[in-house]
Amino acid sequence: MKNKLRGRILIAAGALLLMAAVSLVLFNRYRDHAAGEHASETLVQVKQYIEKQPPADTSPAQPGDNAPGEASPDEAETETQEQQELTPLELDGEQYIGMISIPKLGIELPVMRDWTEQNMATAPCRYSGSAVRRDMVICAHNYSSFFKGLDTLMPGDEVIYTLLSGKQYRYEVSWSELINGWDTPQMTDGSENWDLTLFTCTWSGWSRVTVRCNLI
Amino acid sequence: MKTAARPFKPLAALICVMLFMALAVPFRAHAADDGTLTLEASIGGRVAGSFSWKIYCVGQRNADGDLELYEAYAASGAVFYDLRDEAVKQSAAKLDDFVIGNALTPDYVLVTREDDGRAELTCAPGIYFISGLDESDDTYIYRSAPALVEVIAGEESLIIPKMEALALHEDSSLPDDSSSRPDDDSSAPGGDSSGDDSSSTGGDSSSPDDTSSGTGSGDGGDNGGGNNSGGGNPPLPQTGQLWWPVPVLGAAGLVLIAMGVRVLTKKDGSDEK
Repeated sequence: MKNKLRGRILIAAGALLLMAAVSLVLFNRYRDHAAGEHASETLVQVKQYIEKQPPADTSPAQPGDNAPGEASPDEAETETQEQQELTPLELDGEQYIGMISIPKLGIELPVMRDWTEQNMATAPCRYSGSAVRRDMVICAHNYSSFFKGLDTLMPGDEVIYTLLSGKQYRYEVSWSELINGWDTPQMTDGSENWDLTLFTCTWSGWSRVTVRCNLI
Repeated sequence: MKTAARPFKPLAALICVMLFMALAVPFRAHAADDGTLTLEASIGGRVAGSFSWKIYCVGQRNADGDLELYEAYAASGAVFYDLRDEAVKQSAAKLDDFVIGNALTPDYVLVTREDDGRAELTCAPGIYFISGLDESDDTYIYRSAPALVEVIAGEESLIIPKMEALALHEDSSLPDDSSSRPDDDSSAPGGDSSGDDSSSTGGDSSSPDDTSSGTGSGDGGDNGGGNNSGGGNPPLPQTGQLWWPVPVLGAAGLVLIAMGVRVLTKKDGSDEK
């Protein structure tokens, strides 16, 4: 009788754990789907805004436009450009500064100005830097509609970042690396060797898949 | 029972020492509307005297109401159009590097009093960069994070950001007395920055919790360890979904079910016998 009871308790506990696992899968998929939907809706509005911008601003940026680190001979001008770049478009209280496109992954997403947990649940976010200074770092969740496939990018793959002004920065992937989740300096340092960094979490969440890109 | 407690006494003492080391050493700066800049230091909720700060007047508001650096500090890389806490802390860190690297002489040096841990300075309107000097007692070296404060004479003071900076031996939680400062509320960024359109976008005061992380978070073990932006960095944002528990829960569930089935079938077998 005791064995019977023990057996049933074990089976019930096991079933509960399995249900918890299934619930977590469903919850993650729901979050993933909701984030993708929200980002798609926002992207339409960001695109509409960009299309309204005067065509003079839509010339793509060239590698020689700014030297890495110092950005341009005129620091004041760079600051002005950076300020313009980071002046956000506000949509429902969310601040967007541009959009990123990775043709190989088939993703096109709006980019938010600042990263917070809440912001990252809805779109990729600027972690630090700026495109004009060629030290921009963008982070996003590893949702299937966001940066899940980041680890599949290979050197030479194209990444396009478009400012709200319409100006496009075309990059190609230079290399990828895995950075410890606590190694913040490694993520942002050495920007003289790259112009754009994208990162997302690994499956375990301990490390960050990091992709370094340079202007084409 | 008494014999069991004995070995824990030195352990308890050690824990107390470690807790003391981990206590935050916050300083606060408050700019009053009469142009008085007040600095205050406390360790673990009690006042800490003889803390010194170097104070540099680094900029002012221009005619448009925008914050800007003086020429002498322009090369520091500090910027003021982004008034989020983290951005301001980065600017303060840049200024810290700049004044140290160029051996600039401070405009003022303030030392907090032994009795109340405070120091006051009456100064002209402007943006002041405050760099804490390393302080040490018999055991520890404390270092406060660099910070920026704006003094606006005759107006409600705008403090950038919430004026708290933590020493090297910091904990992310501030001591109790942090809540007893009424002026902190009035000092939230963006409160009176209506004239500054750039700060109205960047200076969202919706993230005051950022201040609790502090730029000066250190390793703790390495006293006096130089730059605040060093080893004690906050972790990178968590950009992953919680997937790892799925196989763990699933495997554990299957194991339990298998064990339960085995127990039940064993019983059935013994009944048949």
